[in-house]
Amino acid sequence: MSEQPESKSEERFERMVTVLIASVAVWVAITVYFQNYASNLSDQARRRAQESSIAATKKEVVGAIQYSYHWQSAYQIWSEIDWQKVAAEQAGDTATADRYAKLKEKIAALSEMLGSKYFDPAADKFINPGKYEADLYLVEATRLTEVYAAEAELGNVTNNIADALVVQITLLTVSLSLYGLSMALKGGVRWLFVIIGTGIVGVCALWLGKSLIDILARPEVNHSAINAYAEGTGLAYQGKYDEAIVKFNEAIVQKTNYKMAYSKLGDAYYNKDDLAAAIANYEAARKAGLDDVNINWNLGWSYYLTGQYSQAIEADERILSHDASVLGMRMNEAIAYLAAGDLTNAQRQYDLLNQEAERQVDEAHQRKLEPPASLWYYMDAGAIDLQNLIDQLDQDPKEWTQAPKPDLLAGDHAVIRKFADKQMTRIKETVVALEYSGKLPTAQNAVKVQPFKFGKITGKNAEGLITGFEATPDAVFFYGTDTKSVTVEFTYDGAPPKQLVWKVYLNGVENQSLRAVSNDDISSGSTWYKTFGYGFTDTFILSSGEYVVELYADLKLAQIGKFYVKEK
Amino acid sequence: MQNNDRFKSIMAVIVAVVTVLGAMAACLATVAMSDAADADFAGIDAAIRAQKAEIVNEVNAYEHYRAFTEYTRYLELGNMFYDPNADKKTSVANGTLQRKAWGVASGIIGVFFKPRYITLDGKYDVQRELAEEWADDSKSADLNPPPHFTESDQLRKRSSFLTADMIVFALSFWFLTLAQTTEKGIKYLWATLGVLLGFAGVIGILLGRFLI
Repeated sequence: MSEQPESKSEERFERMVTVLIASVAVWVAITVYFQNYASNLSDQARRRAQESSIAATKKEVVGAIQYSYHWQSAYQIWSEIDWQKVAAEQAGDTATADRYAKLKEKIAALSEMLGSKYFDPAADKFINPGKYEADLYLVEATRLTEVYAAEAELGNVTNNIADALVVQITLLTVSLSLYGLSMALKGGVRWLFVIIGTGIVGVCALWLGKSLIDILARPEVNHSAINAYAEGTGLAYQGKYDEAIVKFNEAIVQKTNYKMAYSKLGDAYYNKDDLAAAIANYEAARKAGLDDVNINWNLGWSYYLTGQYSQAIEADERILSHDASVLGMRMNEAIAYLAAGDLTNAQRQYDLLNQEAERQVDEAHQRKLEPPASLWYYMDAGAIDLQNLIDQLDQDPKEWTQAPKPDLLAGDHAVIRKFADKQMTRIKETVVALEYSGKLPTAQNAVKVQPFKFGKITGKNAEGLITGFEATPDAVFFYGTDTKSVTVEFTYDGAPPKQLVWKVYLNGVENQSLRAVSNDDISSGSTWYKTFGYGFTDTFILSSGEYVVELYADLKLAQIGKFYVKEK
Repeated sequence: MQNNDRFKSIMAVIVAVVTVLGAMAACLATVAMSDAADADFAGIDAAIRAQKAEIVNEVNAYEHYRAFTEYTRYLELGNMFYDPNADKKTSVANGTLQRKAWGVASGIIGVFFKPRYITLDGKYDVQRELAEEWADDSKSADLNPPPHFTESDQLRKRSSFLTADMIVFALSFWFLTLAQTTEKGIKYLWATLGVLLGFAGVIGILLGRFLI
C-alpha cells in the first residue's frame, strides 16, 4: 500500500523532469541560433574591418607614391628650372630665361598637381599641395580608416555577445545534467537539483533577453557620418577650417558620440584661435571615450593658453602618470606649473624632462639605434615655448607667440621670467649636447663671448681674410638683393673653444639649412666672422623676418643675438 | 498496457531519429561556418596579395614616370637650343649644348622607362602601364577577393538557417517527449506535431544544404 503512491509520485517526477529536459533542449537550440547569429555578425564585421584596413593602407601608400612623384619629381624639376630662369634673368640673359620659361610649361603639363586646379604660377608664390593630397588620397584613406574602426568596434561588441551566449549554452548544459542527475536520486535532495537547474535556466532566460537587447542595440557603421568626417579632415588639411567645422558638425549630428569628429572639431577651432570652443570639443571627445595622448596633449595645451593651469596639469598627468616618455607633455606640464607660479614643481618637471631625454638617447645608443626624431623636435619646441612666455612677459608678443596673456600668469613675473630664461638655456644646451655628444651638458662654464655685431664685410685681403667689417645700426637690414647674407662678428675671451655650433631661427623656427658646425682652430685671434645667407648665388636672398642667431661654444650656449630683415 | 508500451517504443525510436537529425543539422551548420571562415581567409589572402601587387606596380610605374619627366626635361631643353636667328658661332655653341642634352635624354629613354607608354601627344600613359602590369599579376595569382567574400556570406546564411532548423528539431523533440510522458489520448496529437516538425526539420536540412 505504501509503495504504490511512491511509485506514482516517482513517475510523475520523472515525467516532469523529462519535459523540463526537452524544454531546456529547445532553449539551448534557441540560444545556439542567436550565438551563431552574433558570431556571424562579428566575423563579417571583422572581415570588413580587415578589408577596410588593407584598402586604407593601400590608398595611403599608393597616394604617397603618386604624391612623391608630383612633389619630388615634377615640382622639384619645375622649381629647379624656375631657379635657373631666375639666375638667367639676374645675369641679363633673357633668351635663356625665355627658354627656361617654356621648359617649365612643358614640365607642368606632366603633373596634375601643377595644373590650374591646384596651382597658378602667376598668382601663387608657392604651391599648396594640401588640396591635391586631400583629393588624391587623404579623404578616402581617412574614410576607410574610420570604416575600419567602426567595423572593428561592431565586431568586438558582437563577439562579446557571442561569447556571452556560449557561456549561456554551457550553463544550460549544466542545468540539463542536474535534471538528469535528479532522476537518479531519491527523496528531497532531487528537488534541490531540479531547483538549482531551474534557477540556472531562469538566469539564462534573463541573460538571453539582455543579449538580444545588446544585439538590437549594437553599434552601427554610420557611413554618412564617416563621409562627412573624412571630408572635414580633407578640408582641415587644406587649412579651410570654417568649411571643415561645418563637416565635423554634420558628422556629429549623424553620430552623436563620434569622438574623433569632436577631436578634429577641437583642432579646427584651435587653429582658428577659438580656444573656448576647442576646449569644449576636446572635452566632448574625451567624454565620448577618446582618452589618448593626442587629445590630452591638445586639451592640456589649450588649458595652459587660457590660464587654466590645474586642468592643464591634470590632462598632462593623465598620460605622464603611466607613460613618462612623452617629452612634449612633460614640457607642457612644466610650463603650466611655471605659469601658475609654482616654481618648485616646474623645476621638478624640467629635471624629469632632462633625465628622460638623456635616458632615451642613452638607451637608443646602447641598442645601436638612433633616438626618435621627435625628441629633437619636442625639445626645441619646449625651448621655443619658454621664449614665447618670455616674449609675453616682456610685452613683446610676436605673430607666432603662443603663451598665456601676462594677466593670466600667476606669481612674480620677474621671477618667472628669470626661471624661464634659465630653463630655456638649459634645454637648448641639453639638445645640442645630446645631439653632438650623446650626453647631458657638463657643469663647465661657457666660453665668454661678447654680444654679437651684425653687419657686412667690407674688405678682404689677397688670402681671402677679412680686413673690413661694417656693423649695421640696430641690426636691421632691408629686404632686397643687397641683403643676400648677413655677417656676425663675434669676440671671445679666455681659452679658445674647440667646437662651435651655430643655429639660426627665422620667426621662431630654426632654419636648419643655416645651421653650421665648425671644429676649426680659432686660437690665432679672438675676433671672428660668420656669414649666414646666400651670398654665393644670384638666385636667393634672405627673406624678411626676425633672425635669432645662437652660438654654442663647446656645447654651451655662449651668446644669442638678433637681426632683422625688414621690408623697405 | 501493451499498446502503450508499443507507442512509447515507437516514440523512443522517433526521438532517437530526431536527435540524430538535429545533430546532423548542427554538424552541417558547423561545417558551413568553418567553410565561411576558410572563404574569408582566402578573400583576405587575395586582398593582401592584390595590395602588394598594386603597391609594387605603383612604385615601378612612378619610377618610370619620374624618368620620363627627366627625359622630357632634357629633350625639350635640347629642342630649345635651336635658334634659327642665331649667328654661326652661337649656333655651333648651341648645337654642342643641344647634343649634350639630347644625349642625356637618349640615355634615360634607353634605360629607365618603357618608351611604348609615351602617348601620341608626348605624355606618359602611367595608367596603361599599371593596368598591363595588373593584368600580368592576375594571371599568376588570385587577386580578386569579392567572390570569396560572397561565398563566405552565402555559407554564413546556410549556417544560420541550419541553426534555426535545430530549433525545429528541438521543438519536435519536445512534442515527442510530451507524447511519451502523456497517458491520455492527446498524446497522439503531440506525437503527430512532433513527427510533422521532424519532417519540417528534414526539409530544412535539404533546403539548407542544397538550396542556400
